[in-house]
Amino acid sequence: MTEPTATNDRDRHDEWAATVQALAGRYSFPSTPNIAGQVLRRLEAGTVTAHSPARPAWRRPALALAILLLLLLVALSVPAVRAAVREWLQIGAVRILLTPPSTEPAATAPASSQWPRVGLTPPVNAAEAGTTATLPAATVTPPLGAPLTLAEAQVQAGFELRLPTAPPADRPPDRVYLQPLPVLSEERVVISVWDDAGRPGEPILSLYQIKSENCCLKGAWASGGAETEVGGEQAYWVEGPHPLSIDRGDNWSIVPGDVLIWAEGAFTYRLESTLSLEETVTVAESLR
Amino acid sequence: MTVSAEERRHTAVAPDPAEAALIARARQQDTAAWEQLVRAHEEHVFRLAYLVLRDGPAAQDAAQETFVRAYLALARFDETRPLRPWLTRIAVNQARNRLRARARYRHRLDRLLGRASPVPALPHPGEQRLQAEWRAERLAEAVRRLGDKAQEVIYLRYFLNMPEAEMAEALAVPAGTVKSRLHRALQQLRTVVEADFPELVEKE
Repeated sequence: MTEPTATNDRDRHDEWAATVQALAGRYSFPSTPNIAGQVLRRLEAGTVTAHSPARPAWRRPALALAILLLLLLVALSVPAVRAAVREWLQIGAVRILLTPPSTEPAATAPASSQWPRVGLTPPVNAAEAGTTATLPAATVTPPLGAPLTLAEAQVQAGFELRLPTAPPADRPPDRVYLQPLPVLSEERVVISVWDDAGRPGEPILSLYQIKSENCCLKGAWASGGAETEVGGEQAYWVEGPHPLSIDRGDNWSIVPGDVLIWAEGAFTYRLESTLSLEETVTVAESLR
Repeated sequence: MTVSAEERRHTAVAPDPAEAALIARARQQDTAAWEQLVRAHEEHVFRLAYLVLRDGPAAQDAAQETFVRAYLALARFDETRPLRPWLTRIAVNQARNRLRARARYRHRLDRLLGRASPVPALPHPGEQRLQAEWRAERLAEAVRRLGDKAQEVIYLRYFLNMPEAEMAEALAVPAGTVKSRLHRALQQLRTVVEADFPELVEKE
């Protein structure tokens, strides 16, 4: 015969289990996205190699620590940036600010900042971007120059262009632009743009290939984002609309979408994307 | 603790013949067959990842990677077993790995910036969601205070309505272990709720 206390405990437990069941049954999940479609695209593109870290797990914290120490030493050696030592991460030519920039707003962009942005959606202002009152006002982005053919861009850039082989960028870009960097005029950035299929003029990917051996001049304020990897190299995924400065923070424009930033050798890459992080990394790792 | 062959015979969930046929086709690199299987299980996998990660895009990435990795590993899959528990195991690992990576990143960032991680605030009930949904969200918050194993069994059993036999397959433990883990997890959850979420046990 079961003891009354044991029976009470079991009843109490069953009652609690029923309460948990009832509460959990009302949990509100977001709508399930079309995962099958994304998986199928990856499978049919032949880019389904397992996405595993290129380095042993124990080396990743060590590498991150080394990068942080290096950043700290470099920053502390320069008085002008000493105060900002805890406010940014550097990936290649791109300095990712982790706190809002405090520069005073600029009324217009000077002639030197003719670095274009190939927005994936219509530009937004700082308020719409969810930024704070300390954020400089966005400047008007200057128009792009005339697009070049891929061959023309290749010749004029003076370096070998790298392009993705994974969809949706597994075809020649719809447009290519060549722009000088505003501060180091001898350097160039090549911008390759892929439009959405059947929707000319509506970009889904914009790849910036920046020759950046000597340059360290841009900032992107990441109000949201995550560290990730591209081919085993450190990368950063800046989420959502964010300001971008191309001339040490004097002038800012708004990048309306998500951007993956990474560096390989002498080049820094920015990939403005309408895809998920996973898909964007797949495209980034397919550069040939 | 792993499942012995004898225990598996007692806990096994019979595979669906139609699903087995699709798996056989997918093993021959029939992506259309795999697409059908993904559609059948994507909600379960996505929701599981969402419970662990609490972030829609991250859960979407984890779910997508789960199905890609499962496809790559299909040759090693025991086709006499049902698919969902196997996908569940991969999804739990994918989501947990992402959660750990995110925690490491935030920890580094917090140390760099000398700040404490912000604690996300739940909206007040009635402003953005119904009271019942808010209580469910509070319950999920309480579950996150538990250890990984306890979280897993609560999520699978109560948030995703997975039968215990299937949970045993997914967690690669005997059915008895699932029962005891659930019992312990519910006790721990009750302790957490009574201490920090009393509104969930107050009589309405």
